[in-house]
Amino acid sequence: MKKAVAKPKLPLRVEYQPTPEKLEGWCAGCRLCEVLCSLQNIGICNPKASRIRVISWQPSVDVPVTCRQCKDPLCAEVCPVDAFVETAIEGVLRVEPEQCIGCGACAEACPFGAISIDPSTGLAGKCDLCGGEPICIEYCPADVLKLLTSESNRQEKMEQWARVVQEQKEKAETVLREIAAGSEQNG
Amino acid sequence: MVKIAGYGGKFLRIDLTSQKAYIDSLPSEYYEDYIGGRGFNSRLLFDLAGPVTDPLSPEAPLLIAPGALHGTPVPTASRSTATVKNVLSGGHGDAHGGGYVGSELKYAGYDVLVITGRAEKPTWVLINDDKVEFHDASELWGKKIRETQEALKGKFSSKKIEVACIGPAGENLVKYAIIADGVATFGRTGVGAVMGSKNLKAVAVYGSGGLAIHDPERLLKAIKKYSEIIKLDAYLPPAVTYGSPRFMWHRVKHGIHGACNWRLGDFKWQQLSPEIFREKHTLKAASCAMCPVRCRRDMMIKDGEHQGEYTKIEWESIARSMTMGLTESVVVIRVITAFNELGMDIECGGDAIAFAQECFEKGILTEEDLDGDSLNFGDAESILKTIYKIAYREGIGDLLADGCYYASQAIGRGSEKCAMHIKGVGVTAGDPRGMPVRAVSYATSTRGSDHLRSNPYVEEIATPEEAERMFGSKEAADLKGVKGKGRMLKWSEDLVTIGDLLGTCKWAFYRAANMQYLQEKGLNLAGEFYSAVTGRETSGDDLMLAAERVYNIEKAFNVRVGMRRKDDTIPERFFNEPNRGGPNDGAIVERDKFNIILDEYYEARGWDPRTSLQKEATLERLGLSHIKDVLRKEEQEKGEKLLL
Repeated sequence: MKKAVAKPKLPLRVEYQPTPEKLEGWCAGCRLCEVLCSLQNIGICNPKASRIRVISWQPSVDVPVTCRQCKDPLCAEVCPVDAFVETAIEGVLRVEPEQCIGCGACAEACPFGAISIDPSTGLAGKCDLCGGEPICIEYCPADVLKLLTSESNRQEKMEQWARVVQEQKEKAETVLREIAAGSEQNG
Repeated sequence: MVKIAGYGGKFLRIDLTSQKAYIDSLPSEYYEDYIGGRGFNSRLLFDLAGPVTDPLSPEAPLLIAPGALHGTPVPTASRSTATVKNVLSGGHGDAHGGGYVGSELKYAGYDVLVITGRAEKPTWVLINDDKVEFHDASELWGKKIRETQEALKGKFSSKKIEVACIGPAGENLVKYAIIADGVATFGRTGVGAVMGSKNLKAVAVYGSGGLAIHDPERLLKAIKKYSEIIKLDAYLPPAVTYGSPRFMWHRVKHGIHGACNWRLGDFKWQQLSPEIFREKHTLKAASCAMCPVRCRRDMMIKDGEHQGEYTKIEWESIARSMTMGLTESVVVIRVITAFNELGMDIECGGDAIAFAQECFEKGILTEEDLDGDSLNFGDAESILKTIYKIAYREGIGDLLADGCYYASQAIGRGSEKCAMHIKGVGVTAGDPRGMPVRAVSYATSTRGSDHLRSNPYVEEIATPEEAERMFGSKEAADLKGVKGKGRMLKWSEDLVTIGDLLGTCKWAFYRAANMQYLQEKGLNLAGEFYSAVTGRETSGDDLMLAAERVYNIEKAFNVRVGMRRKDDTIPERFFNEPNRGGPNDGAIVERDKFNIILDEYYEARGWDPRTSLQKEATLERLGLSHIKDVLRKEEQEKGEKLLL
């Protein structure tokens, strides 16, 4: 069941959310997201034109990288032909292929490398959340991609951290009690 | 150019002698008849090599073909086939890897890459879409696998280019050298030696194009269906949790370790348990391309003197470590790392070292023969030293680099009994004693000893009723049974061959907890995926027929080089020496059972049980008249029957 999400003030984005305490909780590096993204958005399987890419290095590190849906996007700002247009999702832009001239300025401006350049057409592409239901999230076998806002991401991170804090406090409390009990016995 | 959705459509031939490349297309009927991957390669090898071809000569081909579905989002479609004239057996040879060079070739537009010739000096080749560049590889020559990959790709692999390369073992023509594709490998039959013989250090591929999908909606639906099945199929969850090291439980249960050169069914396996590898060494659950199962494992030594060493570990490399008598996980990781980085197949390499160990134990080889060293089962340092000597062909390593069969032929003095090989190729997987169809399946494999050429494990999952319906006898569902086993073997060889045509995984598609899931994945969904991607309506039965065709081409190739029924056998040890210890204590492969199953197998294949030669009618039924014509022609030249 989907959790209720309040209408976001910040734009949604696809965020990599591994579960580090589990060996199965990481991106496994299968790259299904890349192939499905390109199939969904440009109609062919071509990972190089995918809006989500998995960056890997040895040993066993794989990190999916995609558009962070910036509030103040540099890609759109530098585009000389205003090819970045709004979508039905608030705060999420997409590239209008009819307008894009393939100058690559957006790709250079993006601090995250999240703008794809389709090597067969030379045109730019940007994650537009597949209209609200990103295919990468739907099919990810490791279930490590989530649709979040910076705010919900922060909330989730705080919840994780809060659990750690709580565990530490409980542990400390137990230790203190044990010490106290021990000193009573000794006394 | 052939235009079918999901395929590259072109055929690339590179000649290293003239440093030229030719772009062509395959005959369009190849796509229908042989599907792709191993199918294309086996057909091409038949034409490009023959009985007199030396596998390490310039004219011998090295073929690399991505599976038909590689490069598409079909689950587990990550596999390619590298095919050569088998350096160890002289017959058909191929190796299969789950890397990215294959899909990159397809994105560049190619369904097959054929490399012939020999470069004058060390060379690496860059395939950049339609452009092929030849580069000096002097600075790469001598580098190990990881160094070579990083030198060409950089530290980060984000699909800029994909690299297939050899290590020192391939350069030095070790007969079981591998080709590495990223962290994946084409392991068997000496494919790396063929590459080394061509002075070819690496092939780097960049493809800018994409692959069309005929019916994306149908494909996505089938992907969902596959995901549902693997959640239900009890075969797969342990693979996610433990990776392939989980097969230890199977070996322990049946007592089929094959430890210490295939003599011991009981062994100190506790420090090599799936739990030890998971808890002490696993970095995470990783996967090959497009695979939802995630059984790939990079394992690291996390403390002690060798802290930080890591490599990719598959079950079989743990199994062959036990064949060399190793019992401890840290040492096993060091040994596998050495094999992987030097670029050698641990199956054949492990068998070669175990052979030398037994010869040393029996006094057939002395310290003098071993360059002044001892070589005892389980002694890590001497094993590691020997691995390096093999890769660089130094001292005894020069002999062992040819594999246990050739080494035993050179040594003589009764060492032949210690050489555990089939058709010159080192024995793999579990001990077949007490399980006659496993023994036959190793023997009939067209590439020499192999447990992945078939799925005799069907006998463990079929119900007696299913066995009767499918293989004509309830006995086929009994491990010790005989009747129906030959038909079952034939069926399972064809079944798993489909995986090599499509590029899907032998574990994730062609093993299952029961027959229902096995057929649902391996036949029905395989056909559904292929139809959705290509738009050519193809059923599981159609794929079975193509697989049978391919198997027959490989058999015909082996017949041409002189292999007959006598070669479809197993090491005498399995017939004569009882397995020692464990639940399978005392078991042998009973020769009469072996022969009955083999007879039934040949019948099922439409081959002559006496000689194993194919019947003309069989080749005609499969539409292989070209193969028949070649056999008939060579028959006249040789004055010897090649076909019935």
